[in-house]
Amino acid sequence: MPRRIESIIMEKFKGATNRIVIDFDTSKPVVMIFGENGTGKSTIVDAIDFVYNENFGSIDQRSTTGSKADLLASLGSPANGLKVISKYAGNNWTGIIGHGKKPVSTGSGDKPTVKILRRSEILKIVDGQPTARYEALKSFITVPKAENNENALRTSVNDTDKKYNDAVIVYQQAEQSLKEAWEVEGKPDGDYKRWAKSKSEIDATTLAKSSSHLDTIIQKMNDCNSALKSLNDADSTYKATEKSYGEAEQKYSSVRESVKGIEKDIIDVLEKAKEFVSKYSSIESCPVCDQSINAEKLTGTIDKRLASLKSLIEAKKAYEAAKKNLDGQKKVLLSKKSDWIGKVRDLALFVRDPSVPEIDSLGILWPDFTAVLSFNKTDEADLVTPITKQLSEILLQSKVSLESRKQKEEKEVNQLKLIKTSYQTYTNKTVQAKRIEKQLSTLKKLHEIVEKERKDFVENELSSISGEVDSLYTKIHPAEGLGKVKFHLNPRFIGSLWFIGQFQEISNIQPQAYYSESHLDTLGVCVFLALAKKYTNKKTVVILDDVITSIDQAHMTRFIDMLHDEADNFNQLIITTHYRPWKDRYKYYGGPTANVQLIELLHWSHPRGIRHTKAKLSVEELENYLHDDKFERNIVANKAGILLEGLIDHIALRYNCKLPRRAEPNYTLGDLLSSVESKLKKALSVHKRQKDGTFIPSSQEPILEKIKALSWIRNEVGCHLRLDNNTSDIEVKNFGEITIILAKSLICDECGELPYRDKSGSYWECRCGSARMHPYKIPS
Amino acid sequence: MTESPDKILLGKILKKIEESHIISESVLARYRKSIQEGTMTAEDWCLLAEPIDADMKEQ
Repeated sequence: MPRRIESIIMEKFKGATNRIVIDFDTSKPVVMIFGENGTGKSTIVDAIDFVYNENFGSIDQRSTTGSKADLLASLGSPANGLKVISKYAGNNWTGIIGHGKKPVSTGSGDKPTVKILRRSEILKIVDGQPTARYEALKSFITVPKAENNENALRTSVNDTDKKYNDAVIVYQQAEQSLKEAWEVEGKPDGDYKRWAKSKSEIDATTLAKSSSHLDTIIQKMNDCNSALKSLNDADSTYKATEKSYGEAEQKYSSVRESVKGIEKDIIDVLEKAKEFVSKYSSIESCPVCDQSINAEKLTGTIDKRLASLKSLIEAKKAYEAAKKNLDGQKKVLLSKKSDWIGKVRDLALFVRDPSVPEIDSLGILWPDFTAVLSFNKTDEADLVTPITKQLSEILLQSKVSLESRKQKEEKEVNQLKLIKTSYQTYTNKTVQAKRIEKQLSTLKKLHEIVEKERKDFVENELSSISGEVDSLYTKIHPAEGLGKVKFHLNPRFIGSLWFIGQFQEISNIQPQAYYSESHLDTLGVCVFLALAKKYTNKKTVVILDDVITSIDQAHMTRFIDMLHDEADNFNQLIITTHYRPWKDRYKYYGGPTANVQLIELLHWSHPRGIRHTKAKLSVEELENYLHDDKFERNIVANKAGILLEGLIDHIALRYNCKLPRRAEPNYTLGDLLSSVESKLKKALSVHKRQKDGTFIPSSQEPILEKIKALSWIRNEVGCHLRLDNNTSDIEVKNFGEITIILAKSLICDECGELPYRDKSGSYWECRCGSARMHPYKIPS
Repeated sequence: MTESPDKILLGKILKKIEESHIISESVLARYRKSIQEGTMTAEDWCLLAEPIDADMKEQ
């Protein structure tokens, strides 16, 4: 037994405001859920999608604001309160809204692979933009892992290409620098690379050392100059101080001369005496003459005497300060002199050994300057100053030439460094660029392979379903000059799926521009089924959610035929529709009813939610009314009449029976019964296969005769108000029963379908071939 | 049961790369799993395509 979805229970899920349980008959491969618009068909499909695919179903395809989870919950219920439980192959799966308001499904055993086609997706497949079409079929044709690899590879190619270009730019810049330097040098060696190579091999250390040595000499010369400047400054300061001292000395001498007697020499004695008396204030006698004194009085007397000597005291202080200042400046001068001599000595010692050509050329007689070279005592500075000055002047004569040589050597060192760096950059980047070039070439080849394989693969997949689509489509639209549909990817766009088809004699047209809506509908279904079939497995359940809006009778027959042929490829086919003629096809045995479970959805209301009932087949329905204790005679007559119309219409269609020409072919039961002419009636026989494989015939003539005799009951009892009607219940019952006999005689006991196929060319047979209706044509 | 399209395609891609001899077997072996799992990064591809010294010497 194939594994099928056994039941679905919905609680607070979309329109299921009350808990609803729908059981599927697992013995039947096809489930048809019929309901008018707004009865809950899509809710059931979304519930299956939710629990097995863990997504939001049809809400996913709609533009919404806020959480989709909230929209899945029944009106007025929270998202965390909804639940869907479904049983598949004996195991329960439960879907709820989990963390992050995402659908979560838990259960045991295998989950079915549920593939759902909704009407909105059909429109995308057949009528949408190439990108929308790609999206609609993406689940079948995308190869996300391969695409991930390919995208990463493409990034790698781009990154490496950039790296290569960067390396090339760098080595070209280095090459340009070398060329320019070579040209400045007068293009030596005839080739810039050879020249650069030889230059880069030169060891610039000696040159750099020499340049550094020159730099030190020049620095020392600068130090000598600085020290000499400081010395000159100190000398100027000393001379000014010396002058001030002379002036202070002269003034002091002059004031002294003006003071009479011993007073000029007593200042110190008075100052000392005052200091003494202050220190020993309790003294009563003079420590020198030992006469009695009054300390306070004595202090007052000393102050008076010192006040009279004020100008002399000030002149003396100025003189002493000037002297002190002069002594200080003398020391500074000596120090500066010593410093300068030291600098000159250091310079001389530095340039004497090792020798420097610029200094050698000066012809200095070093022994003449031994005093300078060995100078280390400051107090000898005055003595050494003259020859120091002489030596310094000689040495500094070479400064300009030394600076010139230093500049030249420095330039040379820098140029060598530049050439070396440029040459290294040039060689390194050339090698690197070659390596990256090789890598890039490999990456491009890999990308070529990966991209080509992916495109070929998808093209092949599409090409392989093109044949299948065409085969399915031709079943529905034979000899209509339609089909030959081919899908292809547009190489210029990613995720863009194009398709072409045939219209009449013209190939390669865009079907959406030429096909009718119903033709496009069936095309979309065929594309979906072809893909679902290609990737079907032992767990595949296919759901067609309200995919057909309108289709004429002939195409409906072929469409149903195609669906039942294809249903065998899947474990379960669940169809929802609001299209009543489709459901009625089954009700009146226009399809293999034994393989179909019919579920009918009732009117929806918020308090009651989704409700459903088992849709009865017309024979079953008539039997129920016949055996009902209340026996509603007018209903029995009416239902029997409708069933009869369906059965006789089926016969009339198979045998091209003659019927009155009317603007609208709404034939009455009388028209239909009369169309079955006597030759056909006599020959009409249904052969049913027995368990041993033999067929037992059953003539329909006696049944049809009885029906014809009772057919008036349909109108008299089943259609009109007849106050004088005297028809008995027995007659009505007989009419109903003979109708059931005809129906059961014509309908296959195995597949529940009326014989309609003309494969043999000698009789009509049902899908399973267990019921055959003879003859093939009305006997002549 | 049919193999997933991804698995089939990645198998074909690996085979084509092998047949092309663009990458040495030993290097390809290191990345085979990542290619099969579709987890190759741009850096992985760069490393995979990195020329070995012998290639450079040939040049």
